[in-house]
Amino acid sequence: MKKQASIHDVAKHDIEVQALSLQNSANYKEAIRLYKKLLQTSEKLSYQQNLAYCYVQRAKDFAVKGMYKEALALWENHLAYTHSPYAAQDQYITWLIQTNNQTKIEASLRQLSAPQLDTQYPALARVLGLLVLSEHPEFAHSLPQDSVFIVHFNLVQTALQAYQENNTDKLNETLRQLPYRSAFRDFRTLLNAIVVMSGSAAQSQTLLARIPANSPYAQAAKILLACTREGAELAWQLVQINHQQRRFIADIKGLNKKQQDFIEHFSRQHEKLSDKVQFNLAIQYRSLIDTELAEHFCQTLLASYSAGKKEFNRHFGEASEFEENRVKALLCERDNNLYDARYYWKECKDFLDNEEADNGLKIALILQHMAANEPEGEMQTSLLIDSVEYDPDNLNTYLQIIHYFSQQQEASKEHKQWLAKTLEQFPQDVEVLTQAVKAATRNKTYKKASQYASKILKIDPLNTFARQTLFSSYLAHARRLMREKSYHLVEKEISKAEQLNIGKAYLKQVELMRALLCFANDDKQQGLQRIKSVLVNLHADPVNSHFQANVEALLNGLPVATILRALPEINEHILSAQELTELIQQINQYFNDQESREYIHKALDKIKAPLKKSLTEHEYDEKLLFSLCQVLDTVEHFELLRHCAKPAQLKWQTPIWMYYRVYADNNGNAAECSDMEVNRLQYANNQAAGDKDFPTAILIDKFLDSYFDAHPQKAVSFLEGLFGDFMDDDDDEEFDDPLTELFGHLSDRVMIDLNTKAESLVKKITPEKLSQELAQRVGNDKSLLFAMMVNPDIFSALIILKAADELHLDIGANIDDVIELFGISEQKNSFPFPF
Amino acid sequence: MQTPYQILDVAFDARDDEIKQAYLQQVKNNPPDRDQHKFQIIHDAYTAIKDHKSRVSYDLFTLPVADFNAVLDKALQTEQAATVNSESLNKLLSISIDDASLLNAFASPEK
Repeated sequence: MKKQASIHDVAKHDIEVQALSLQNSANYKEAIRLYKKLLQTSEKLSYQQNLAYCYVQRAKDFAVKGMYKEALALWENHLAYTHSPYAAQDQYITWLIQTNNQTKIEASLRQLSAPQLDTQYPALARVLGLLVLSEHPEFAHSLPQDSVFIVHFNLVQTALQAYQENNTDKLNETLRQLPYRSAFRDFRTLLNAIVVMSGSAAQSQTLLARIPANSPYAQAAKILLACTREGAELAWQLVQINHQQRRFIADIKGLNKKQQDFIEHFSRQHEKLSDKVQFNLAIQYRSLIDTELAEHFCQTLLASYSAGKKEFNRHFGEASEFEENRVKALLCERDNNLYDARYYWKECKDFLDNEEADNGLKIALILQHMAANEPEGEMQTSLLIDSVEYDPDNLNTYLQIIHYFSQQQEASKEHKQWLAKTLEQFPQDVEVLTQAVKAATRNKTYKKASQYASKILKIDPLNTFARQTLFSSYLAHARRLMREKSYHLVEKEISKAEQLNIGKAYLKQVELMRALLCFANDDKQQGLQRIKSVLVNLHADPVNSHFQANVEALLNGLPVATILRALPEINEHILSAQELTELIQQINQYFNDQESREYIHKALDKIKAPLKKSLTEHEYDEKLLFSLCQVLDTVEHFELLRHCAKPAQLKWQTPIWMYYRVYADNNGNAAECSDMEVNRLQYANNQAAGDKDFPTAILIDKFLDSYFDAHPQKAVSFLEGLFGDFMDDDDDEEFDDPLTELFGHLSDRVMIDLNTKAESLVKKITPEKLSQELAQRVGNDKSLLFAMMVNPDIFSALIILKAADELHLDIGANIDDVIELFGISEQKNSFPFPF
Repeated sequence: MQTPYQILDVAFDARDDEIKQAYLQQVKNNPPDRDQHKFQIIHDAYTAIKDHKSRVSYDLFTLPVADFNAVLDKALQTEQAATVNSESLNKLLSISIDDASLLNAFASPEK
């Protein structure tokens, strides 16, 4: 028996533990079942308390789910296992109200004591406060009449009466009597917000924000807050509340029937506000939202919702082709698709061109915009030139055009024409005049350059460029006079240069000119002394002095040997880095003066011994040697360039030094390169590209271009791959190969570039994608795709066109040529289905 | 995203001198030494619409946004000031009562 009792105890203990565990994990249903089982064996108080607790918690769970009847039953069950005061009695009363059980409500309210209502159950008091003021004024009779709640309720009624009578003083006075702890505290705030609402929406909003989210008045506050909003803000508030509440706000705000319909429609669809929904709402309520706005809104949406086009046309007439293309162009630009953007801008331009209205400015701006999206080159300049026709007053456009032509060696005629046009259009613009000075200097028309420079100085007396130009011009004139032995006129020109007063270095130049004039005209010995003295002032080393004396003597037609003999010996002098830098500057300076260019080479010959010695014995840094190479390349002194580049290449072994070495070894003549040198340059080119050293890669490319131009047969090997050996065909033969017919006229170098680009494109683009891209131009991508599948040459041709387009090359062939040559349009209907 | 017209607080058909005046006023109110970023926004806005050519350019090259809020603003334009009389107040209280709000009163007890 003892053993049996022990087993029974163990089992009970287990159930108890299990019940407690379920209770703690909020599984009240099972906990209740176990506690009931335990209570069948024992009346233990703790079992009863726990069971009562579980009943109440489970009742609350049901209430949260809106199952008030179940909640009430469970709460009432707990009464059998506990005694007063009961847990959650305030919530029980609320549940009773929610089930509208009048008898029980009245009984429960009557059971409430004043302390319970005023202090123990503040949440219930607030709920009852709202109810007695709205749907259940009768509750007030069942509540303890000696409670503070009833006192405050009477105050609120007085306040409402005052509000109805528009007696603000009495209203304020009454509301002030409601303390912070009052069950009607939030009602007071609400009423205050209502009072100020018509005068200040912002003040009302501030007051409403004070009503806490767990207040029974929170929803009323939300509705009132919506009443203080306008437009979109109001709309977004309205969709968060129910129909009845929306109707209330509509009445308060004075929304008309159409507006109310709109908001109901919007409320149903606001969660899935697709382009289509927005489009349809705007169309349907266009009279409400202003037809112009609706049209603009829908037109903009058409770019992303093209299905609406028919509907748009039905309601607003034909959609603006211009606007549609404009938006598409901008969307393409946003997606960095400049290729298609260009197409849509072109469509816009054509549309405007065909309109009767004066669209000149718009067209010009579009052309300028298209030009800005192009890399600097022929296409960009062509667009800018077109834009001038529509916008002839845009200085910037002219300057860009001039700049482009100034960079093109073959375009001197165009440059001259555009400069003349620009000068005519902007005769007083300093920047244009500066361009004119530069062009005149380049063309050796110094008189013109001086005239333009003088004009600049009239507009801008401190313009340094113009003063320097004039200075050079006066000195050039003085030299010419010196050469012509018109010595009496030389001093006048020197004085003019001196009067420009543009700096110490220029004054020394003037002094040197005077010393040379003295040597030529007055006293040779005195002149030599003065020359020597000025050069010592100008340069710290004899090499720079020799160089300048040499060039100046040649420029002025004076005996070089006599002058150089008077200067210190130079052969043993080793140039310091600073002295070498100065020499480079001097060479550059003389090179900029067209007249002295021819003498630089001779002057360099006279100083090559100390220069070579210096290059051999002094360790210059790479940057300085690079500058020297650049300047020697500019003046084409290949002997010295070789002397500089060879040791540098051995020392640094970078692509640029390989270039200078090969370049110098062949005296700058690419045609002379050996195969080995070409191979070396190609390797260096790849290396430069790999290192992203693009300036070097461009130099090498250019040099190799010249080589292949001189040896076209050497280039053929590069064209293997995409085109096989079609390039080997005899030029005089009829074109059997359509690719040859399309591209055979292009130079080898262009073909190499196209081939390289095409190879990279083939890796990125499929025939399907290519056909889709081209479809917008030819209309039918399927026929293109089928054609490409049947004949791979078509794909090759199209990819070459794409490559040319990406390289901005005009290759004299386009997609229409491909279609025509391969007969794609003819075959369109006759293509058998390939699968 | 505000348009230059909104930033400078001028009408779409404002004249050059009106735009300049508005710009100068904005610069006066927001000098660069106080808020460089804001000044830059004001300056950019002025540059975008300062003259006829700039405005044409702005209109051409600004991607229009299909702003549904603008539609809502227009659709719900009202001229009536919101006022709640005592009758409306009763209605407001009635329509604001629902099960959730009553239950919510017990959600977080008063401190």
